[in-house]
Amino acid sequence: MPEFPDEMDEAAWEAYVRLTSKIIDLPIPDASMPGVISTLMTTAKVAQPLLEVEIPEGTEMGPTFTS
Amino acid sequence: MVEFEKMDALAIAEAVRNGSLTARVVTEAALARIEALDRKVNAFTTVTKESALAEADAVDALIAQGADPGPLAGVPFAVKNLFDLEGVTTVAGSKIHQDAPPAESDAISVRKLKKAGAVSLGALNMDEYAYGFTTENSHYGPTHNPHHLDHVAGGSSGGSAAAVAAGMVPLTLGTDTNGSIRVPSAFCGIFGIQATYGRFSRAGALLFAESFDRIGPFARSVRDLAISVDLLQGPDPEDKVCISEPLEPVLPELEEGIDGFRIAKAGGYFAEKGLPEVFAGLSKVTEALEVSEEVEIPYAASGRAAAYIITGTEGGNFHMNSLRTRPQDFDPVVRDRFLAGPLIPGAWYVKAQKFRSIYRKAVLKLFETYDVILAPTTPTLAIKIGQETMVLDGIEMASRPNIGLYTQPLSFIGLPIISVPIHLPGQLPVGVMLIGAPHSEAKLLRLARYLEKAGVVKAPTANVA
Repeated sequence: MPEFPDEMDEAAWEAYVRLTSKIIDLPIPDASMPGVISTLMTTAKVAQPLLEVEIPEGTEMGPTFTS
Repeated sequence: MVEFEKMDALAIAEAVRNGSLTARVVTEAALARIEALDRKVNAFTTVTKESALAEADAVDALIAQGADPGPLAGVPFAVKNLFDLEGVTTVAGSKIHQDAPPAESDAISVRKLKKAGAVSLGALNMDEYAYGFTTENSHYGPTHNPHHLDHVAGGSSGGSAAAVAAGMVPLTLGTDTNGSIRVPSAFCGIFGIQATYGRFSRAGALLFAESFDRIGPFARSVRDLAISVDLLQGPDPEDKVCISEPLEPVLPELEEGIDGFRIAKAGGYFAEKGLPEVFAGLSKVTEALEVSEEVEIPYAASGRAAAYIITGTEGGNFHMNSLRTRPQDFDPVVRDRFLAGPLIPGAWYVKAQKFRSIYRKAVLKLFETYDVILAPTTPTLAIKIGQETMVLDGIEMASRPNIGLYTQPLSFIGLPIISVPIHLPGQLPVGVMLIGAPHSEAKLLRLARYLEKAGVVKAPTANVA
């Protein structure tokens, strides 16, 4: 898994936000752009330990637990 | 005037049942205390004075007729404002839901407490749509920590914790997605339980991330938590994840002690980054229990990452329509978090969900060796209102997302957890999590009660100044 969160600076994240928000038709108000970028940068940092985990092939998703 | 604020729920119920107090007197005392203190604390968003007095009179009428008013007779309670209360609009901390019509009926959990004789006093403040750890709500104002008004009450169920800590009501309900019962319990110095996923019906509560969300009670005594668990549990066809197993009453076992309990404290991830005051609280518990064994909860950092990603993605997608049409009506801070959610890469979300299965198995294996694992509830004491950053382990970081450092890794694998309060001299309260295997609420409550009897954990009513 590439260390891409560290490789992406704020400008790269802004480009990512502008593109993906357009693709999913979710307009980002100008006033929200810094907060959205900051949230995604924090998410990427927090996500790193998960991205480093090897998931065995065939593992199923575990969305809910009822037991 | 009756000093009901120093009584727990079961003491109030006993007094009402034996006739030494009436439900009306208790309700009027609670309303007077809310009137006196809530200008400072801001725990309530709606006080249902008229219906509360009517409910109290109905309890008194039952007693006058010689009928059983229920185990919570005359006990004032209130709920986070994402629970439906008949005749009240369920705002969930938002401006957007102010436009919704009033709820036509009570949430199932509210109905259960009322059926037991409890009296509903209204709705409580929270982070908008439960997305936050501080209850600094821009629409309804911040809820203040009753132990120090300059500090946050925690979130997202901040109003629920503050109302109990301030002695306005002895019992409240909140919800926990990533720590929203446990964090405010710790910050406000009271007891809170996140029961096994599916144990309590969530019908009539507005959810945040459905596969995480659990409702649960806050209280100032362990026995009040126990009676609440007994009253709230049970199958409910209106909530598809509500378990169908027979009821498992916990109150009758409460005084059975902890002989034979295998207890360890969490090391590794849970022993890092927290403030010394937090670990001092944990030490008080481990010393009282003579616990020296340390166990590492595997993949905890990855677990937190997965919880973070799933919550952001599911929460953002849940509110997508409002984000497109009414972004200006969100609390600005919450809006930015929600807007970011749907932009999280799908591959991360899928990986987080796959990891969830692996992680749950790994953590459950620990409970083959231990009955209870102890960990600090939060890495910090209650931060100041408006505090943007904090320093943990010498590193300055954003305060709000990191308050859940210890609660988040345990949020999404269904375990029951109680946060018990520690009050050390000269500092704000801290919490310690008692973590157990699914359906081990009785054991956790027995341990909490043992600590309460030993004077290690307690929840004194705050002196609101």
